[in-house]
Amino acid sequence: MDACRAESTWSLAEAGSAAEPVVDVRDVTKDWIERAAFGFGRTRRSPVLAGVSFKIGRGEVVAVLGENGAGKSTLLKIVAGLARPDAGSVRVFGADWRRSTPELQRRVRYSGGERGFYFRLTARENLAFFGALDGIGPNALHRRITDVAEILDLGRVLDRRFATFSSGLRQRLLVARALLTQPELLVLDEPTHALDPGHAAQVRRLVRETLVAQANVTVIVATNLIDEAVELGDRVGVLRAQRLTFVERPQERGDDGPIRALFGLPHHG
Amino acid sequence: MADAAAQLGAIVRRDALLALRAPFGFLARWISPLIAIAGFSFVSRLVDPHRALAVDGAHGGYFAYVSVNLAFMLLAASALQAVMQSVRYDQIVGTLEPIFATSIPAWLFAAGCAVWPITVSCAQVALSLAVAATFMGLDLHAIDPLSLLTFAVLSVVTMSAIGLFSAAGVIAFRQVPPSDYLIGGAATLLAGTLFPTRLFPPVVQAVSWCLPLTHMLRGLRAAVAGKSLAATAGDVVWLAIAGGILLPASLLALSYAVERARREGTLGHY
Repeated sequence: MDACRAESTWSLAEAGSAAEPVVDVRDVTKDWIERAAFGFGRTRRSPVLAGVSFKIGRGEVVAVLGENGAGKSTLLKIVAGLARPDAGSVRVFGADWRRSTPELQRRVRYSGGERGFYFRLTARENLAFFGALDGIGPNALHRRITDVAEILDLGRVLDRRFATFSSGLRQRLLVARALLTQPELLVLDEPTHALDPGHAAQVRRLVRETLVAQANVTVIVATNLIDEAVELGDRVGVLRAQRLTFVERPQERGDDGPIRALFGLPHHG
Repeated sequence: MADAAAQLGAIVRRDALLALRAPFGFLARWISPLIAIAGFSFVSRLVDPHRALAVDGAHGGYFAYVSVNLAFMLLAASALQAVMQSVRYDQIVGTLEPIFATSIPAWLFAAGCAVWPITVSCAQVALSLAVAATFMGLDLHAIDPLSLLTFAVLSVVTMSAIGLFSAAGVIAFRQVPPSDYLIGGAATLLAGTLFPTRLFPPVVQAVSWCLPLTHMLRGLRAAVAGKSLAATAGDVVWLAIAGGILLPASLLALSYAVERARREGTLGHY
């Protein structure tokens, strides 16, 4: 780790230093529990996160890198309130998820997976359903659906059934759904997974230029791609062996040596 | 309040669209009960050729007894299974986690999931009774509407509460609890759907008395036969107490199951 710091313009970062953090994760530990049928019988526990702590300030983008199965999705779901830590605390906008309110839930949106829509409904019907569950009124919802469809280049397929969507379209619809409530904290789990290069670049521009630069949205994004993490993140966290190690954005673009070293990859020429 | 109505409306619209876009299954749900009732109109000719048997006060003998039971079993089954089936469907499709990521409370989501299936089953009950009356001679002239409405509401509340326990089990264990099959199958037999419970041995009759379905069917049969609420006060009180206890308990169970799934990170699993 020290070697990485010495050889590069990157530096190991503090795990967040925002005065009033949007996200405040402290000493989070999480095991996967595999129970026998109906909760009885032998239980197997596999550690996923151990002592993970970090803060994210308003308008900051944190990218989380990790190998498959490293626990990125689990960490993001914990931040988004969809999973609870076994130990430690998670505060979002100063509130504990265990005492969350509908208002808090509307301020935070998670986008991940690929299965989370009804195959027999159109994209518009799917978005309208989830938007209505979030308490968005019919007129505002109609406008929001049109807006997010335009932003994500989904306008022409809005009235097509989800079953006919390619993986890339499904991925963009996931991001569209996450934007419906105009969240202040956006939790994106591999948002460019399955996207073609053009649309992947479009999503990255959307995050950095529209959501962060214009709307001051706070973003935590998980990705498997080092280049994407470097492009998107103000800070990059690498999740390995249940722990999250942060590195700051380099002064020079493309200097991803420390991250590559963490994965045991050779340095770019 | 407006938010809650809009949220309920969105769930009903979703369920209606999903049902109407799978038309074969939807049609089968309407036709199969009519076939069952038609079948029992022939069975009743063997059991009671002159429709003269006094079967627990049903006007029209055995056919009246069994056809009214079969019709209202549609309502009972729907109330029992609506939320559980909806939750299981969302679990398998992968929409359960995104739903609980929205701001809708679990109890409101559960209520919304019950609206469409129970509305459809009410229409199916009406159709089944109308067909039985029009083509098979079921006598519906004596119906006591107040009694019928009271028993229908109490039945939906009580059976839905039991169904919520199943839904909680589905969320917690990610499979339909075996108790659900047991309750569904055994209750149909023990509640006297096909024959009066007085034919059972005394011990089984005692078990039957403990089932909400028994009181539901007895009350609804009595309402169709024209008996007033006063005449069926025992069953009204039984169902009211059961519903009053089971509904809050089942909502707590549902809330606990959702929190447990969040704790274990299994909301998105199936």
